[in-house]
Amino acid sequence: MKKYVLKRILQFLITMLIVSVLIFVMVRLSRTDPLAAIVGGKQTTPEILAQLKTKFGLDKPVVAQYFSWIGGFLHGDLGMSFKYQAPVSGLLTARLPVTLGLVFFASIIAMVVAIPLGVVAARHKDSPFDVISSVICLVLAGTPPFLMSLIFILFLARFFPSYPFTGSFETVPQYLLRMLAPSIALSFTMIALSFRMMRSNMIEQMQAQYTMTGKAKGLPPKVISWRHNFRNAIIPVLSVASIQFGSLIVGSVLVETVFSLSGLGTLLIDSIKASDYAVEQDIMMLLVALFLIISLVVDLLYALIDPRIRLK
Amino acid sequence: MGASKKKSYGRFFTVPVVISLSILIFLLLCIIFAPFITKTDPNALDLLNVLKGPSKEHLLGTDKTGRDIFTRILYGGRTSLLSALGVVMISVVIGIPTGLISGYYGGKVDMILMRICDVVVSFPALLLAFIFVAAFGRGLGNAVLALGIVYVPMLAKLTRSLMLVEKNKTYVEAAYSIGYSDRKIIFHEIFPNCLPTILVELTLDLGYAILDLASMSFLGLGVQPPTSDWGYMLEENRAFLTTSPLMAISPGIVIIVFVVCLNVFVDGVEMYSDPSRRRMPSMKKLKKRMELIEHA
Amino acid sequence: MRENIISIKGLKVGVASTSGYVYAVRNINLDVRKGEILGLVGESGCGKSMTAKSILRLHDEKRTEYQGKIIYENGKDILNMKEKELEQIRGSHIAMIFQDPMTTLNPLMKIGKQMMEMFRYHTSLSQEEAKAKCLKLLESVGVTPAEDRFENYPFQLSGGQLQRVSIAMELALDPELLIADEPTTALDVTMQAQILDLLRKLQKESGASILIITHNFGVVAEICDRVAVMYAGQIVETGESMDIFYHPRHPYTIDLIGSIPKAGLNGQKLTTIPGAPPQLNRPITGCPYAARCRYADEMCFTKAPDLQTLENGHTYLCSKADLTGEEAV
Repeated sequence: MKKYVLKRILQFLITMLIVSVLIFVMVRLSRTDPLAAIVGGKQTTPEILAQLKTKFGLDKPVVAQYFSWIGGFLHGDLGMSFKYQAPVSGLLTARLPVTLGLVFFASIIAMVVAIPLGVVAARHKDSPFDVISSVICLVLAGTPPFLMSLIFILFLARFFPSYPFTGSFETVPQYLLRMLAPSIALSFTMIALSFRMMRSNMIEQMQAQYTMTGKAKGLPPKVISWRHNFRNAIIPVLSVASIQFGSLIVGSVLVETVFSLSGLGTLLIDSIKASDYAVEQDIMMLLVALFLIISLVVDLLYALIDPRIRLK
Repeated sequence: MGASKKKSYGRFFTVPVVISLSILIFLLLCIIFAPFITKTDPNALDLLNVLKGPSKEHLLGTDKTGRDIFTRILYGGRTSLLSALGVVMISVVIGIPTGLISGYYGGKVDMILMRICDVVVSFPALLLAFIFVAAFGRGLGNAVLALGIVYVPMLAKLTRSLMLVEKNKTYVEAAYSIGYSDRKIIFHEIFPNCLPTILVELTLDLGYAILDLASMSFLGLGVQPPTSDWGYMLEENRAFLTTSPLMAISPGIVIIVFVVCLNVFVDGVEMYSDPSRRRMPSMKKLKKRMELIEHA
Repeated sequence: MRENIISIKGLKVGVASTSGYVYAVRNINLDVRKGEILGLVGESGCGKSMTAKSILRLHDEKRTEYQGKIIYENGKDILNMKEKELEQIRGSHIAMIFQDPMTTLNPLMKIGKQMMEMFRYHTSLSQEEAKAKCLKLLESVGVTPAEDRFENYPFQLSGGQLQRVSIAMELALDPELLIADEPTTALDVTMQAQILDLLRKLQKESGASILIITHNFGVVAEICDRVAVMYAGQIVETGESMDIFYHPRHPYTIDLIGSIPKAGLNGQKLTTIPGAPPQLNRPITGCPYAARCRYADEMCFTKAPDLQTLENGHTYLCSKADLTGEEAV
């Protein structure tokens, strides 16, 4: 177990390092001149340009720029946004709760809905319930999150016209209410994938030899399904959960846009459009870090649940 | 004993496969022959007829500048499908040779390549595409290129795993002992045997590419006006979602129908090639069959 | 004559599979008597395992069809029992161990917990009492140190140990009948003998009946009191095991015993039975063994064989009443 954890953490650090270099290099390769973006077409003199260069650290060599960026990133000092002329860290902390909230709530909703449904569908294979839910999930799996959000807005506007789509949120209940609809819209893809996986795993487990042993022991079918098959079936679902979290993070970019929430996603898209590269690289780094941390945690949890890894 | 061979209960043309395939063919024909189906110009403005509901001239109504939605969906479909094909082609051109060669020769290069692929595959495709587009600029060409590259590792890994299975088979040994060159063995002997599985994967990838490209265009990172694809149409008409929902959402419905049909079709193909996934024939049918045999 | 635990009368089992409707068990009559070890022998696919699982109705009910009766000790027909009633019998009155010990137990649950389930769902014993019993059981089958093994997961034990755990678990509630489906097939040879010895020892102590399913006549000779030979979904011969071993009457049994490798026959070819058993997804006319039988004549292919009974209870299903298998041994 210790070896596994160390290996996994090491892998995490290496990936972080590679990705940070990748992001840095990619953004630096950008064809647009950052200075032009800062100036934004205004008349300038060479002196002002030189001044700006120093201000944003663009006069230093590239390697030094990388280290000052990554060093700052680790200390929470994220540099200045060209577009907003403000520290990036302030921009990000204001928007973090939205994105984190979306991903968190969507995954909770998805798990709570998909896993029990998958088990029930598997236990009643080929029943009308199973067929209908499988078809629905097939359609959901082919629907990208932004489209789901559009359809969901249409639905809300028709049946819950009082739902607050816009406006600010100061209190916790306001925040939760505001997050509810986008989180549900975001969760659909994960529901579809988790449901299908859970269902097919359960069916597979229900045909396993140990299931017959349980039956021969005189255990009621419900006990066999929930006490024995369930744990065996859910482990593979958890093992791909990190990839699913990745698609949730990307999905949140889209869902934020549709629901006009100011989260990291909308900020990322705005800064890409404005070539605001300090913001670009920080958000991308943050999103990737978020993804890598979640998958690290998921993998460690996974090891904790599966004794075959834990006891090795 | 000859009769026993007929006793396979797997049929390729099951009901879902027939339905999905005919919808796909219908949509493809509509998109390919768009100029014959509608005489309207997809970009023709008609400021006297903005935001009109469905009518004889405008089957799905018009948008805020009076352009015909139905026509735009057909022409937008060309952009969407062609660019999705482009994504798949890029991944094929890079991914398949990489997978084949990496799997055939093995060794250190193979190990490094696969490590990189593992890392890339674990990332969500769109996130990497964002990074790429952030660096090289927005636009359909860059979006296609970005997604194409991001799709490479998945395909390379699949091809490699197929290669690993095939390369130990007898026919490869035979080809080797005859003195065929490695190139001939890889591309003429082994590759054709990997092809069926790869084609299934590519069809799935096409569906993902349509979805991912739509997402990028929707965010304004893909197609740039005046060209339009299904994703960008959704973005254009988003403001009128609640006032004229049919017009605003119909490109989305087409996306869903297309991708779901593609998935159902692939599912049917897989079920046909893997008997263990076939559904058990019903007891009633089997018993009837049994009775028929007994009476014969 | 001793009382029967289980009396199978005219059992037919049909199963829907991807290759069609299979009549794997065709008209079986078999009694398991109190306190005996009965062997059910036959080659793979002859329906012996299917028969065994039918006794506990373990097949997927949605795609299985039973005909006939399986009368339990109390006079009730297992095939007609309600699911709840059957759950009471499974495990506590009739228990079953399976072929591959590596897959028999839930890989994610501690061995102790899986054993405790027997008590949890069939008795009202407290946790501590149940645990004490489980530890004792583990010791009695030689899985030691019991305390440690109780906390282990299946993957931490070897195949032989796991089969012992299975046996301990299934005998936990002193069942009247233990069905052992190829209990030694997946184990290596030294382990096989140990498991058979253990089964015999435990049977002597508890007085339970054992129905042992095997394709190996050596197993029969070693521990069975009686034996039933199965071929193509039918029982073709039953009797005392020594009687059958030395005086087989049915041509299939004769060939089967003839094909056992014997010590001291260096350089001689092993005898094999040519051909393959008939497919079970279609009806069979005449004797199912006719196509492979060296004694078969025209009548064997058209007329179903009759059941012959000898004085000592030895029965066999063959139209030829005068065969003796002396030359085969």
